[in-house]
Amino acid sequence: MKKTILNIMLLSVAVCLLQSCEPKDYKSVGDPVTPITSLMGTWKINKVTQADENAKYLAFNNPSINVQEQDITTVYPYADLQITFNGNGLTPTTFTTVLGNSPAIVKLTNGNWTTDNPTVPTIITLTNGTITQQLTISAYPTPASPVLKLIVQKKDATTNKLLVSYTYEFIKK
Amino acid sequence: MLKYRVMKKILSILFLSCLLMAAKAQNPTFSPSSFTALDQVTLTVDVTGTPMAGQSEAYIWIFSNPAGNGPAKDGIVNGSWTSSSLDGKMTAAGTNKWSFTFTGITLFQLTPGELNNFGFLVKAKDGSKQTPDYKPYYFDPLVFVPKAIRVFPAKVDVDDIVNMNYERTLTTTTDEQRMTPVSATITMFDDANNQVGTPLTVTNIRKTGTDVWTVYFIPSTSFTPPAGKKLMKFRCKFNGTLLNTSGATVTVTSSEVETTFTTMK
Repeated sequence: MKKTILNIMLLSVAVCLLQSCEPKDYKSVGDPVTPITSLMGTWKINKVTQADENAKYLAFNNPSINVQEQDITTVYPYADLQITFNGNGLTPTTFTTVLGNSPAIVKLTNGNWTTDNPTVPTIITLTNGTITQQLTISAYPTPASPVLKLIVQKKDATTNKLLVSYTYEFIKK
Repeated sequence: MLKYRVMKKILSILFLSCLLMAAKAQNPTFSPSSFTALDQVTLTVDVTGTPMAGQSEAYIWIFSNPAGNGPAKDGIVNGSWTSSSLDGKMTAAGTNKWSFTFTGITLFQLTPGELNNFGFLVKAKDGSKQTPDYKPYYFDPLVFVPKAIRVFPAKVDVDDIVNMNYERTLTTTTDEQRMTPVSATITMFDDANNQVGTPLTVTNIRKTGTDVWTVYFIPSTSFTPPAGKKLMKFRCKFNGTLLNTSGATVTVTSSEVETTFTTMK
């Protein structure tokens, strides 16, 4: 008898719990992101960070000033700079850069761009004739964070040791 | 005719002087150009013009911290002065040029923290001939070393954004400690050790930390080397003002630091 009463009580609690559930109105996650196409378009610089990679690697610390990286966005008129990646469907085609008074972050003003992976690229290679330059993709633009982060890495010409990097955060123009 | 001959001699002397200066500017060379006490490095030295010129073999005599900041020790490859160790035999690298490869901590049997700089000379095995000392050459630090005037990033190439920081609390003279910086003066040199153009005064100075001021410049934008030359190094000093005991504004200048460019790709 006791067992039957206990079972009825448990069943009642379970029914109550199930009754209290109701569907939540979650927002749509949006269309699937295709990284290669998300790179296409005209971008302008939002933030520039310069890093001493050796100081980062060795975790150098100075209480007075950050010796690992510095925000240099406002040091020079980077806001003038624009870069356009053109494409045809999933295929990268040409690129152009407009400097204005900004320091040149890439050596080329126009040419073709390619990627190391057709769908999920991590490296963008800019080419004009025999001149090439590689940009490392640090972050793709997404609906939640529409920022494209590109990194220019500079290595010791003899040892290939990474010494300096510039991280450029772009937003769509 | 006499004037012409004198002129010709003067020009020859000037030309030779330039060659000597260029040679001095790049001797010895290191590969890689910058290295810590943990890195393997190859030094190459041209002994032309020293008693070791024309010798068929050469030995290194190497020693730690000739500029202080750590224990002074001989390299373990030195042997004795009158009988160098075979481990210290240098490799021929061209006419009157010798090279030697080493790793600081192994060569001196010191910890990275104890190795700040080193010097060396080139000698005959029996010590009968030797070059002058070449010193001091500095290891890159493995721990952060605060400096009153510091370049950021620590290694820069000619097309980098160069940040020169002035940290007042680390200066050593009373004037520098009381100075409020208003500009910095940059003097550039090419790879023949000749000054490039006129010094650049950077007045766009920012206070970037507690008692820290920073100026920025791009070397290749501000300086153009002569044809066939490249920018090699620059010197930087900060200029500012302070109030003297009478309350009058006095102009003062900091000490000067030198930075050599690192070739990057």
